[in-house]
Amino acid sequence: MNVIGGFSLLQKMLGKSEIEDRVRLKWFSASNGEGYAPTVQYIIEMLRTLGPVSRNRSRES
Amino acid sequence: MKMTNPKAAFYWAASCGGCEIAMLELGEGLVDMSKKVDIVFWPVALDFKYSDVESMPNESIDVCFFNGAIQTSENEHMAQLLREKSKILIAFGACANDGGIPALANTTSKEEIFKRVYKQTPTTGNPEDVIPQSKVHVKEGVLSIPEFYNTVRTLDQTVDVDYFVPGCPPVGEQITAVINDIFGGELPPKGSVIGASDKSLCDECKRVKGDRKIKKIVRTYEIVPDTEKCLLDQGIICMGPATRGGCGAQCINANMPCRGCYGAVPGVLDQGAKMLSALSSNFDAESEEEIERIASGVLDPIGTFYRYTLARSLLRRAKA
Repeated sequence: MNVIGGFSLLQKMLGKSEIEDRVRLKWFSASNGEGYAPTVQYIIEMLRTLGPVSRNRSRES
Repeated sequence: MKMTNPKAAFYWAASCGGCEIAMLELGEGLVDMSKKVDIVFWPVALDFKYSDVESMPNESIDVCFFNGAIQTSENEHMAQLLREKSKILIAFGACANDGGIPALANTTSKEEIFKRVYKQTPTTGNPEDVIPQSKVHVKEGVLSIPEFYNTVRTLDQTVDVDYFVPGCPPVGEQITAVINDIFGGELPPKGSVIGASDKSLCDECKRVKGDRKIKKIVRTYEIVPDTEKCLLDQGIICMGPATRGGCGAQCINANMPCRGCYGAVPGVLDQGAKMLSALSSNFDAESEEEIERIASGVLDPIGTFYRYTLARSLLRRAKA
């Protein structure tokens, strides 16, 4: 239950950041592999498209 | 023959001057220090020029205490220059360590900041909409001022740093201890955080910790907090669980919550995320609506959880 509170705050913060699009919260029961697998695949594809978050230290403008 | 004293430099970049005040507050300690140490550069107190530093041989300064974040080309130039000229470079205070308050600029952009500061503030009269430019051509030639960067960085995101002294500002006793250690030759391993504890602030806080069940988040003006009980138990966001100790819990002793200026506890990469998780796990609610209601009591999550560490954080900055 508390995850929801944390997640709601997290979304509020990420809304302004470069990693907003990378975060999802979904619930699956242990028996729902059929729902879980495609979601993970979808997220992997999404991350491939977005590429890594740049953590380099060079100055941006 | 008299042995030469070690040479020290002090510099301020994007900061408020509080770190300088913290140094001055050493009072007699400062006099003691000046007997053992030659100060070769300290803009707040002594009239040295940048060209004086430029003309020094490389590594001729033994220790440089550098406070402030890197927000302008001047800050960056001085960081590089002082790195070159100093054997030991110390990131001094929250801004140099983690970005500090100036790094909250990373929630917006240079353009928005300039718009606000030079056009929109009620006390500003600027009918011609003049915005500072880094270079201006006048009859006599080109006038230049430092460039203001879009993103605020920490000192160690700019140049190599030897030691980190956290705090906004670092507390006096810790500064004295650091000075004694560094000039006494007691050098910790490179990269160490010095002048602070290796535990969280909660560890040194004497308040009685209860069950930490938060039903409502309150701000400090809304209640008169009990002086014995944990502030989080009373619904006040206290950054103690996510913050490095060593400050002597001065804010807590004044019945105010920790705001997180000593940075993340050791082993934690992102202070804000740590605090978010510590806080939300204490929300006491039966339904989703109720939990959303409690969470909505955090009015400014970034400004609360990353007040001093946004430049260091995983969030880094607002989207362009």
